[in-house]
Amino acid sequence: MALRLVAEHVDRDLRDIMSEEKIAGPWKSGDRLLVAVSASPYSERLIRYTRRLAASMEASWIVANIELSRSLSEQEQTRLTRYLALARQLGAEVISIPGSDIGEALLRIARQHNVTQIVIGKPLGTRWASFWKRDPLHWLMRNSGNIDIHMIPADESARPGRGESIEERLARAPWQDYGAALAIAAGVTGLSLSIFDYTGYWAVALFYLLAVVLAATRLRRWPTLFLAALSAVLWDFLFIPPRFTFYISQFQDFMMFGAYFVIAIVIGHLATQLREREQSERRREERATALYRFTRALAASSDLDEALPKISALIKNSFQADAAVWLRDESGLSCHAAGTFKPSSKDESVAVWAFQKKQSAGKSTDTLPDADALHVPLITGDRAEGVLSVRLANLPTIEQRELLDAFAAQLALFVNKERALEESREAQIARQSQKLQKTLFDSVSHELKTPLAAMTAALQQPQPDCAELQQAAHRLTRTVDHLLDATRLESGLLQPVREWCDPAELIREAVAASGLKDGAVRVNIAKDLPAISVDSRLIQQALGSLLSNAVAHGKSEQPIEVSAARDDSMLVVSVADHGPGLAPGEENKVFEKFYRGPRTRPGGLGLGLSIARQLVEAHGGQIVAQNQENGGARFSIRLPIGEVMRLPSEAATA
Amino acid sequence: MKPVAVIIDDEVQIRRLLRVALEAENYQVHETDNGRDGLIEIANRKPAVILLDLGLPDMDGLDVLKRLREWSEAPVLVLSVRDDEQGKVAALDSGAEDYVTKPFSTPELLARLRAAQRKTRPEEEVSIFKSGDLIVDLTARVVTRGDREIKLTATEYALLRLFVRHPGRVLTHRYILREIWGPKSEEHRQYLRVYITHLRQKIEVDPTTPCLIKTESGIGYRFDAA
Repeated sequence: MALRLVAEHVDRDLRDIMSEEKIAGPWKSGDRLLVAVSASPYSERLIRYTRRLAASMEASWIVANIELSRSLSEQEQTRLTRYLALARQLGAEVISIPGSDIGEALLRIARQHNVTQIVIGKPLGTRWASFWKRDPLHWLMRNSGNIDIHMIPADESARPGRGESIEERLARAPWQDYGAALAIAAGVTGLSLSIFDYTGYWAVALFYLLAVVLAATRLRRWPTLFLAALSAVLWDFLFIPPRFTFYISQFQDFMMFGAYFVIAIVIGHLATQLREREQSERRREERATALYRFTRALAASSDLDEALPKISALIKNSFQADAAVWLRDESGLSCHAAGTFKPSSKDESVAVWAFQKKQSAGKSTDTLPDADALHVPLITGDRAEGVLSVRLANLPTIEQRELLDAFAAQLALFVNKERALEESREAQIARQSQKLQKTLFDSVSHELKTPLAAMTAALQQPQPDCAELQQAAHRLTRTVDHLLDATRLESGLLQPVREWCDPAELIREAVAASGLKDGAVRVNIAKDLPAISVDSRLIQQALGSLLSNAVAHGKSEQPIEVSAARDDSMLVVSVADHGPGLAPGEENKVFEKFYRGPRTRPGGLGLGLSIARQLVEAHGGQIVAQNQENGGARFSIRLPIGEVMRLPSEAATA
Repeated sequence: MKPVAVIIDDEVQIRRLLRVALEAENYQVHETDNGRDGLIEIANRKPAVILLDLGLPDMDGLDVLKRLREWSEAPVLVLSVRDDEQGKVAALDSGAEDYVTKPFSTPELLARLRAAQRKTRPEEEVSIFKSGDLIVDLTARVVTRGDREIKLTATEYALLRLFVRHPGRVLTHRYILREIWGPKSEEHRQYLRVYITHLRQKIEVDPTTPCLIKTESGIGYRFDAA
């Protein structure tokens, strides 16, 4: 077992090295199998065989689908999709690449992925078919180098009827293209007949050739070849002397005709091949772009609620289809509101099936293919995070299915990441709240019990000490007030009721409410401060907190300084004391809940400043603490002045 | 015959405290601990003043207030806790005369009680109001301090008139707005404080420490005529 692990490890490193150093494989280490599959019904056998082989060798395996230029029938597509899904389910890595030559494409994949053995099915095709086509098997065997090739004969008894009936093929034939080919042939023939007298019949061949080349850029393969053959026949019949016979009298005309025929066919073939390759490249690029945009949309989103509308829009864009996303929750599966269609109860049951079985279901799959939508489970590791449902108008092509699967995989990763983040956030919050709860409990019980003890002691004396009682009651009231304020702020019930206030009046009222004696506070308010729109009660409460904080920390012989001035677009109200000031690094901490500094005198919950900050922030303002140059701390409330007050106009009377 | 006071509060300690204070002021005190009994008590005793707690076990104190206002004009003093500005405002707007906040001092309570009773004496239209050398003549619509006439805008005069007619009583923001600007007055809410400031600057001896128009934070204003 240990040896196996080491071998795998070495293999992984090796692949990294190869991709870094651009070594074309294979570099024999562990075994890796590659099997080529197509829409042929034998593919399933091939997949299962390779899987057994891979299991017996404990090797990883790759299933490759070479997208040939030939377009697949609906039936074939469904089959191929099923095979690829089967391969994924059995643990294979699935690769789809376009290519015109199976052998070459397979070898390319094999070299890129350091494959050691290739499994392919032995074709049942008749021998003459491989006579004029390059036989991919033989080519592969000749060129595979040190890669082993397994050839699996098709099981004759398992041979189904012809994959496609003649009628089906005819129904699928591009009749429009054939029509176009005929029209082009007729047009060129007509033109040639009219100018034939001036140009001679050899030039006509060039017209025909030109038509074939141009047609090849538009028409499909067989109509192009049909046009090539037709034009050769027409040229022979209508132009080569003796005219209106297929007979060719002169040897050089015969040569010319032969050359024309070959060139026309080859050019037609090459041009269509080129176009098809270009088309498939374009499709791949579109797919890659779509996937890129998809991943980018996910990367740019901070949470699911932001990401899902974006990806619904992307799917709408790429597939012209509506999408809905189901996510796992406590009760099972629920549809996220961001989808572009409202799933029916039937959709829901199919989605639940896909979720539970971790297999795609619905349209274009084996399970409930009659459903309106295709449901792809979002799988990460061994669990499903949800289901992506897409309501497609038509059956999806292989490429669309693959793209959807890729979307689903990316989305699954994102959902998984979000879930993990959320869990860790929740855990952190739980830890913090536990800590906070303990602090709260400790300080609250202390703050409540101390004045109660003082009261009890004062009452037990023969002459109850009224001053002591009053002080204790006052402290108790303040503690309860702070706790209530903090709770109210926490619950989010606080909604500032803004009204226009004169800052000077606001500050004087707050100072008066704090109960400070005239000598204990010095108020210095700049003239002509503009009116500000705030909730006067809340701002006064915040100021009150700063004032009682200054009383607690300042020296009693020097007055507290309250000042107000305008700083650009802000109103700054400061409360300064002449106490010992803040310890270094305390500037922000003092506003934290239950924070009690090293220089704090005993008593108090450590809530007042935190409440003040929340009150000020509810108005879009800031609160800052700093030490003054000449000693003592200065707390400043900065409130945005905002717009200028406009009183409704009225006439002066009385 | 002694004036009757009815206390509706579910806290035994508070009731006992109030009873002591009110009996010292020569009231005859009846108390209940729930709203239903309280309404019956009020109907039977025809009290001169009612002290009503807003947090009752069987029904909302506000509902008690609304029901008794259907058939009784007896002044109601609401007992409330701090941080319940909305409750206080709702009670005042539903017809309570005034409120006191627990914990309250006895002198404060008695002062409020007197003010609440005073204003319900038969409404002889106050035509002239005097405070120090400030004279407000509501018939002639003239405000003077000493020999000098004070010029007020229409709004300021309306405000002053409203305050003068309700001395010692807290007026909620909503009440003031409705009285001065009519039912659709919410837009003026944010300017009310500014009008008050302007009025203070004209009628207060020292506008920085107002003695006549006091701010009741979060609730409204009180005109201290004493």
